[in-house]
Amino acid sequence: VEERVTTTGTAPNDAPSLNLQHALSLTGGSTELLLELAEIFVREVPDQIAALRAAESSHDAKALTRTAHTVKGAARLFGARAVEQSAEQVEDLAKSDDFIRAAPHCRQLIAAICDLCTDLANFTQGDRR
Amino acid sequence: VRVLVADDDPVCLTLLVRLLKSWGYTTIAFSDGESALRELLVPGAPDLAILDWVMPGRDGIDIARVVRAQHKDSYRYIILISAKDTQADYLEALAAGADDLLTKPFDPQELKARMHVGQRILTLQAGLLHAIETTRFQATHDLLTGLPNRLSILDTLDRELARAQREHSQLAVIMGDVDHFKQVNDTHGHLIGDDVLREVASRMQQSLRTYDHVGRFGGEEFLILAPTAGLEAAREIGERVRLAIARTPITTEGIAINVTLSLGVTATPGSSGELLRRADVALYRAKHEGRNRTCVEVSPLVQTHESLRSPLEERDPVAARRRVV
Repeated sequence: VEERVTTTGTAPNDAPSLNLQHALSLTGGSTELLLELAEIFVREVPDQIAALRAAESSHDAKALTRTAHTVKGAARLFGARAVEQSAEQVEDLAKSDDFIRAAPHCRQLIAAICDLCTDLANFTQGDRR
Repeated sequence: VRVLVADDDPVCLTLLVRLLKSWGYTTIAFSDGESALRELLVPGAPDLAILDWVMPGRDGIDIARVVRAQHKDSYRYIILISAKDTQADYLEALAAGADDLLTKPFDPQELKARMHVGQRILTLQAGLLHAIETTRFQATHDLLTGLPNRLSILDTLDRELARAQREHSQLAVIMGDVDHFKQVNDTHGHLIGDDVLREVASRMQQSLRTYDHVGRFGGEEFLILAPTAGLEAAREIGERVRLAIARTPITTEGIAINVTLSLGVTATPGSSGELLRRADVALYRAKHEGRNRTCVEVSPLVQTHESLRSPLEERDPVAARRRVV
């Protein structure tokens, strides 16, 4: 598992997109469970991104806060600091109705989610091989 | 142990369900707060719940508030989980009625330990509820016969009387007293006397309809309440009870004792005080006229009404009032 740990990505900072060691500690050491969670996350990502875009473009502060919060929770599970940090910024800005500053952070968040998604897909496919 | 889990994020929900299953819990999972709350309010729902704080519709803190406001008879232990992690959040969760708050991501071992805390609290709570139930039973029941005690049967009389008035229906009150009970005690001792009372109580209960009530009114005195019964039906109930006791001797400690019962019957209209007084008058007459019998005392209102219709009875109002069975 160690070998598959990836820290690459186009996220705005050096924060890792995925920390498998951390994630494994949260599944009680079960790689099988972690794989299942990764697959669920990847499957849900299109909906998640669509929800973020919809809430951001319609200036729905409540929905944007909630969606960013949910993404933050899942990101923490995978030790995905980049997603977590972006999500937290979006959540805070949405909470204070600041859609002007939220917009770029929202784009950043979506990019970070995509990176995490790639890493998780590599992880799950790597396991099948 | 059954646990209800609610989280709108499928990743977290799956993680929770899988971890709980691996520790031997049975889970009921929901991805929205509304259905989780509906399930929690049903009697027999899991008494342990793990709820995500932030969910569309009803969030976890909302659910905790509603459950706390509605559930008085049994306890639901609620653990909130959230990516919120300031002290203010923690205090808000506890104030809303959550028992515990875990921040995402939670350490599995910590969740496991906190589940044990929850179970410990629930066990204590169940013991407490059981103790309350026992105390309540003891306060309202006669410990010798297991029947409702005097206070409790009088309470039932008031309730049944109010219901009869509301539903324009009748209610019969029957007072029964064991004949020469003092002799049983004097001859065979108090322990045998207790056995006799227990057996009388049991035979009474068996000869009543399911919706009738019987309570121990005093030493060897019992009070029967028969909802919907008028005088005639009540007299039949009284006779059935009397025969159930007189027909077969009560056998205890190898001794067969012939026991009989005198009964006084009356029925609505009347206040609870009037009904009790009339049943007592009828019982007194049953004793006076030789015991082991059922006497009826009619309401003065009914009596007047009947005498207007029946000239024969009008001529002899005393006989009309004292219809001995």
